[in-house]
Amino acid sequence: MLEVSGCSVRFGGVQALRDVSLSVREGEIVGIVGPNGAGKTTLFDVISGFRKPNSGTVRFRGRDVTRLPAHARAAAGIGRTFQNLGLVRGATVRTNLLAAQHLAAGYSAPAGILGLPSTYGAEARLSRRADALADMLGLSALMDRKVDELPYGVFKRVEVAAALATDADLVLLDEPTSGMGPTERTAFADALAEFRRTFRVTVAMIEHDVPLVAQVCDYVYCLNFGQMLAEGEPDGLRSHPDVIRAYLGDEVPVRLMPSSERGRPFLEVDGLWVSYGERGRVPVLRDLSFEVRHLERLVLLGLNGAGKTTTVATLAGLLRPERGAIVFDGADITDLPAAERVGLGIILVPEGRQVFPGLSVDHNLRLGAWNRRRDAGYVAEGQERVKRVFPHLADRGKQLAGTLSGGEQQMLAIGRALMAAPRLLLVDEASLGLSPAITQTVFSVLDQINTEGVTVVLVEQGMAALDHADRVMILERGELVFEGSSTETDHAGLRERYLGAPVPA
Amino acid sequence: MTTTLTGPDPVVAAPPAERTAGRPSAVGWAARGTVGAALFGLVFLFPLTRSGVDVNIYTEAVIYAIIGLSLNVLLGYAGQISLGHQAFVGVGAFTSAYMVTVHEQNFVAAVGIAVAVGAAQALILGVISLRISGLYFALVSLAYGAMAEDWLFNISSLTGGGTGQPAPKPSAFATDHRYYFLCLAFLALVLYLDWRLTSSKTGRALLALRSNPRVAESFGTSVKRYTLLAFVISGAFASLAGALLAHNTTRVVAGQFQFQLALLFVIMTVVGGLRSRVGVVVGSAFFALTGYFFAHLHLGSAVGALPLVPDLSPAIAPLVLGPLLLLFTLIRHPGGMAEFLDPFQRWLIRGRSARA
Repeated sequence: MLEVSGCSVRFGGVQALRDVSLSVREGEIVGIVGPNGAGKTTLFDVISGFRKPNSGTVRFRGRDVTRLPAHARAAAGIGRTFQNLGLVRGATVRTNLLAAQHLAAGYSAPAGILGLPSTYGAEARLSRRADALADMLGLSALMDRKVDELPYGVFKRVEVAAALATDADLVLLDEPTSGMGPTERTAFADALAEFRRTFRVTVAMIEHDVPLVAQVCDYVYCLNFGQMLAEGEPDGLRSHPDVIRAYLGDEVPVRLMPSSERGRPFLEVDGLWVSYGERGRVPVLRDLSFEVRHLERLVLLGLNGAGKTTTVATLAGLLRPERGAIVFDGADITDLPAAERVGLGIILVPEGRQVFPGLSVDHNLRLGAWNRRRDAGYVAEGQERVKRVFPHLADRGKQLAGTLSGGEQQMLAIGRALMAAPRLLLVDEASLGLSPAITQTVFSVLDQINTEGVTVVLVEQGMAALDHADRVMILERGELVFEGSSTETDHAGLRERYLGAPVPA
Repeated sequence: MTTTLTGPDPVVAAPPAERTAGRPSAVGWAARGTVGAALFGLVFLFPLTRSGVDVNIYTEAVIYAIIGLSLNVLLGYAGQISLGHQAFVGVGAFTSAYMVTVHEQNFVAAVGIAVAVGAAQALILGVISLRISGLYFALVSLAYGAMAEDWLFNISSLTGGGTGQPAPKPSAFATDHRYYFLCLAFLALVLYLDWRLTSSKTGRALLALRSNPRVAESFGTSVKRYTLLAFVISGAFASLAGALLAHNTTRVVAGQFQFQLALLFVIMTVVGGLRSRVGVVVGSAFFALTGYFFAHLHLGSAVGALPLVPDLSPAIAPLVLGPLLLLFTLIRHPGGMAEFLDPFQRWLIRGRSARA
C-alpha cells in the first residue's frame, strides 16, 4: 500500500534521514520506534508531504506521490495526526470533525458560499457522519466543547477521530499515547484494533512505548540517527541487539566513584507539579521530589516524554511549577525568574544546543557572560578558559556557530554556559545526535568541569553518561521510579524499563 | 487539577453545560418584540423621516458595513492583515463609475464588472501574500494602497484625473432614500454569503488554516488555494462596496481613498469584533456615523471646551476616537463590540447561535 524507498532528507548540516525504506501493507498496524531525534517525525513528514525528500520516492497505492503537496496526499488517502496537538484550536469537537471532512463535503467552495440548495443537504450529511464517528469514539457528549478544554487523553482521541473523519485509507499517528495515563493507553490499544476493523484503515504509528507497540503492531521499524536500524516482528525486534543499543547505548563498565566532599544538599526539590497547556491540561511532572548534593554528578534518565527536560527547565526557571518548592543552597528560589537564577549560578545547557547560529563562536561565548559583560577582563579570561577546555573551538572564534558540526555546537553550548560561572550546571541531552566517541569527549570535559567545583546534572536517554555519574535517577511519566548509585543501574534493568521484559525465545 | 487527570473522564461524566433556559415568559416575548420593532423602525422607517442629505450618510454607514465584512473575511477568517483596503474599495468605485460614464453600461453590469475587477486585483495581492507574510505583507499592502491613491486613481483616461469620474445613481433608485434601501439589500446579500461561507467547508477550511496550516493540509485543505479564495471574496465584497459608494456620492475622486481610510477600516472591523457579523456591521456603521454624531450633537465643540484642547472637527473625529477605542478593545475586550452584541443577538433570536 505504502512504499517508501531510499528517502534521504537533510536540513542545514543535519542528515535527518539517510536512505530510509519502509513498506506498509494494507490492513496492517505498523510501528515506528527509535530514540529521540532518530528522524521518526521527519519520516512521517516525508510520507504525508510536509517535507520533500532530497532523494528517494514515496509510492502510495502504486502511484508516485513524492512531489505531491500535503493536501493532495490527504486527498489520495493519507491522513495523519501530529505530535504536538494537531487540531483546530479554539474550535469545538464538532467543528473539528466537520473541518476534517473537507474532502468528503461533496460540493465546491463557491457552491457553499453561494448557499446553493444542494449544499444544505451535504452539510446535514457531514453533520450526521460527524455524530456517528463521535458516537463510536465515545465523544458524543463533548461535541460542543472547545477542544482546548478537554483533558489531554480525550484531546488525543479527538485527534484520532479527526484523522479517521478525513476518510484516509492510511492513518499516520504521531505519538498517539504521549501524555496518556496507563489506563488510557490500554484503552487506546484496544480501540486501535477496533478502528482497523470498523474503518478498514491501515495504521502507521510512531510510539515511544515499546511494550505497547509490541502489543498492537504487526510489524515494527526501528530508526536511529536517521537510518533504518532494524525491522521485523515486534517481539524479535525487542531483543535485537541494535535496537537495544539504540535505546541504551553501548554497555559501559561502571567504575565506583569515591564520594568525598559530596553530600551536602545543594538543591532540594519538593513536591513539584508541572503541566503544559491551558488549565494544566498536559501533566508532565507529578509530585516530583529529589535532591542534588553538592559537587555530585547526577544523571537523570528516562524515555522521551518522561519529564526530564521539563525538570531541568523548571530548575532553570523557564517553567513555572503549579505546586512544589525549589531550594537552592539554602534559599527558596521557586518564584525567582530565570535571569536571576543565572546570577546564582544555575546554568542550563538546553536540549538541541540552542547556540545562536548567526553569531560567531566568540560572540556566542560573550553572550554567555551577559551578567558580567562590562568586565572585559573576566570575559577575555573566560573565553581563554573555554578554548583551553575545548581545543576544538580554539581556532574557530570567528566562525558562525550555525556552520559548526553537531559535536562542536554542543561544546560551544557548554562553553557558553561556563562563561556564566556556573555552580550548578544542567546539561540536557548532550549526547543527542552525537557519535559515541564525541559523546565521551563531551562527558570527559564535564567531569573536568565537575572537579573544578561545579555540581553537574546530566539529562540522558541512554547509558552513555553512566560512567560519568555518581548517582542516577530514572523518571517515568513525570515520576521518579528509581534512585541509586550508578553502579546499581544495570543494563538489563534499564532495558526492561524501556523495552519491556525480554521475551523468552 | 489532579482530580481531572486521574478521575475517569470527568468531562464525559458531567452533563454538558447547556443553556437550559426555558421558554421565555410573556414579558420576555413582549420585550423581544419591542426591541425587534425598535430596531426595524431604526433601520427601515427612521431614514424615511430624514432629509436626503442625512440619508446619504446613512447609506454610507450601510456601505461601510459591507467594507467591514469584506475586511473581516481577510483579517478575521484568513488571518491576513491588509492595510491597503481603501484601494480595494477604490478599484470598485472607479471601475463602476468608468463603466457607467465612459461605456454607458447599466448599473447592474457596471457593479458586476467592478466586483470581477476587484476580485482579480485582490487575487494578485493574495499571490504576493503567499510569498511574504506578517509584517512585510502588511507593508506591501500599505504600499499598494498608496500606489493606488497616488497613481492608479489618477490615470485620467480611466478615472477622470483630478476632477474625478461621475457616477450617477441608477434611474430606478435615483433618490437618496431609494438608494439607501438598495444598499441595504446588497448588505443583506453579503450577510447571506458570509453566513453560508462560515457554515460551509470554506469557513472551516479558513478556520483550520488560520489556526494551524499543517493541520489544515492534513485535512486535505490546500492552504494556498483557500488563502487566495479569501482574498478573492474580500476583494469582491470590497469592490461591491466601492461601486455602491461611488454611486452614492455620484462622483468619485482619488482623494476619497486616502491612507487613513485603510486604518479606519481595520479599526472599525476590530473594534466591532472580528468573526462576528453583527459586531462588524455595528462597528463599521458606528465609525461611519461618528462624524455625523459629532456634527449633530456638537460633540466637537464640547471637546474644545476642555482647557488646552482644540475643537475636534467631525471629519477627523473617527481617527481620534478610533485608536482610543482600538486600544480599549485590544486590552479589555478583545472580542470587540461583539462581546456585548452577540449575547444580545442570542437573546433576541433565541436558539440560534451568533457564531457559526
